[in-house]
Amino acid sequence: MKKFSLGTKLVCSFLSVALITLIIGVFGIVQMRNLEKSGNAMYEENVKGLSEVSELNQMFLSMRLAIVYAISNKFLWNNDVSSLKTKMEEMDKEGLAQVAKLDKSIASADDRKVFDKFKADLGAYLPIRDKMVAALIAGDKEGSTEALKSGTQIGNAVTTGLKQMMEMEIAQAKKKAEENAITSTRATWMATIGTIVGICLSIGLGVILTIIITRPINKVIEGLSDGADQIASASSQVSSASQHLAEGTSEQAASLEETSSSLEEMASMTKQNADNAGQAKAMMGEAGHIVEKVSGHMDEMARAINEITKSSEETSKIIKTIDEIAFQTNLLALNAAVEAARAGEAGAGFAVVAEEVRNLALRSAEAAKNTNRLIENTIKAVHGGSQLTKLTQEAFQENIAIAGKIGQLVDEIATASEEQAHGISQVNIAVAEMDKVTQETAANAEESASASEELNAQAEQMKSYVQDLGAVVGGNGHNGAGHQARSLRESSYVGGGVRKLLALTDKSGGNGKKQARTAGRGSAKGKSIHPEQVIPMEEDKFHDF
Amino acid sequence: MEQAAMTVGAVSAGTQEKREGKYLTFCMADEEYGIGIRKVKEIIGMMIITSVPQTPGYVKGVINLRGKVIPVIDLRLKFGIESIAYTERTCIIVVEISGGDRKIQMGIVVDSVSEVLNIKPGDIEDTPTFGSTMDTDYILGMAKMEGGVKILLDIDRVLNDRDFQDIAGAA
Repeated sequence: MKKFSLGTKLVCSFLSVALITLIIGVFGIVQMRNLEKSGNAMYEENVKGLSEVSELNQMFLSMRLAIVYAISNKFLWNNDVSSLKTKMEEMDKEGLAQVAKLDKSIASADDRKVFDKFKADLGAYLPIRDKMVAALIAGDKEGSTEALKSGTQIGNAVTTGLKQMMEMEIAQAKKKAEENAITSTRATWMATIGTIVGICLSIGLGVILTIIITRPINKVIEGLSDGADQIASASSQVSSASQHLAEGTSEQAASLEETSSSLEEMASMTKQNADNAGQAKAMMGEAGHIVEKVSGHMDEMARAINEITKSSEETSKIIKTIDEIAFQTNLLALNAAVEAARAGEAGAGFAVVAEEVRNLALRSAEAAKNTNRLIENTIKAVHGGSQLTKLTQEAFQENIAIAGKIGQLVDEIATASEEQAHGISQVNIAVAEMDKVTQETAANAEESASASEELNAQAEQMKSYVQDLGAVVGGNGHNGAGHQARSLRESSYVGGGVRKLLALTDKSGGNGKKQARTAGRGSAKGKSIHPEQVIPMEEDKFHDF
Repeated sequence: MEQAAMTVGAVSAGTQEKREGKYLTFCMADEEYGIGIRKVKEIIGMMIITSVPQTPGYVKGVINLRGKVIPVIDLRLKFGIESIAYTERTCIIVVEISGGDRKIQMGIVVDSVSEVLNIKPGDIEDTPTFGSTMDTDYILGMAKMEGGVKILLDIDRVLNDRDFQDIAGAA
């Protein structure tokens, strides 16, 4: 049963009620028809039969009467009765036809027995009558009277038979009427029972149908109510979330502005850096030149020192020569002393001379040593000076190298500063875009806030609709106050939405946000979310209930 | 041993007079030595020494002194002192030593020559014995001078017989 749609169910139940009615009606009609048939049969068989028998009886009686009349006619008035034969023949024809007709309509065995007896009697009577008629026509009084007497008995038998037949017909009719009564009573009972059953069934179907329809609808109503509640709560959550989002976005926008301003500062500082770097580079160039000059002078000084050293060395060599001479002189003096010693006494004076020569040699050696020492000192000093010069040169070289490196670094600084400035400008652009995006987000947040407000209102509306539906379904059980509540909520929705927007507007400050505000407001008006969008309630889906 | 002691005593008694006189002092390995002036023939500066093969290590070679070929020994190596490089002060003392009955001229490489000193006998002390194993007869004595001791060498004994033959053979 659940798979059928409501319409189908309704149609089915009404169809079943109709069917019951039809059954009852058909039954009644059938019974009527049976009654009619029975009545008809009664008429056809019994009434008609009765009338026919009655007619036959009448004919017989009229025949007998004709005969009696004829007798009276002949014998009393002595009229001509020759026409009696033809009359009799006519009557016979009619009567026999009638008998034949009757014969055809005889159905039951009893009727047949009686009819046969009648026919037999009639068959016995007719010759007698003929005889009588003949006698009558002939004027045979005695013969006709005899025939009449014999005929009377049989004629009476015929009449009795006819009467019996009539009674039988009547009895049959009566039976049939009784049967009809029984049938009618039965039919009445059955119709009544059927009607009662039909009523019960209809009521039962109605109740079941109602239950089947209302219970799911109630469930649906409950579900819708719950859903509407949840939607309302969810939409309030969304509203608060979007409010938060709007707040956060406005904060973000503020911090973005701060960032932007600090970036500008950074940009100006970077430019200054670049300028300074350029100046430093120029100065480094000058310093490099100076250092080069100094280096050249240092080279010259080194050369001069070298020359000094060389001359000192040469002087030293000369001194060395002098020293050698002194040494050799010493040796000579020693040799002289040796010879003097060998010479003994003769060489005593020579020994003295040798001694003096040796002294002189020693003195020269001493002088040479002193001079050598001085020269060595000089050389040492000069060497020291040369070393210092070299060190200074090296230092200057290092200086140059360092200056070169500094120049490189300054170059790099300049390049880096340029790139930094470039990067800062790009970051500026990005921040501006971020600001734009933030504003858009703020607008979107406000939109979503208003949309959620709408959603809330629509949920309330839906709730009221559901209540109405409940009222339709339940009548007294649910309050049908949905209409009034709906109109109230509609007005509150507009006010609430505007209030929300104003609240958001108050929190956000600054020029760029006006755009977002107007955008939010406009969109709130233009875009209205219908409940159908939220909860689709199309017709065909409704049938599923 | 007794013989050595007696020799020393004989020397000391007999050579007191012998030992005084003029000595040519020279320096070697930071020590002052002295050779009797009578033994010294000549003092010359360092000159090229032609080395002679198959000679003892201390025999440096020979030199050409005014046409005369004189063998040269390194006194350092003779004394077993480590040899050093020759400086401009290094000299060759040409000594005349008598071995047996011959007089041989020989050059001695010394570090430097100092002076000719007249040493009085009072300044000369006998060589102290450093134990019996030491052969110190090549030392005439020890001359006391201010601040130090000069070892007076008996050049004749510095080179013993065998050396003599070798050197004589070389020359």
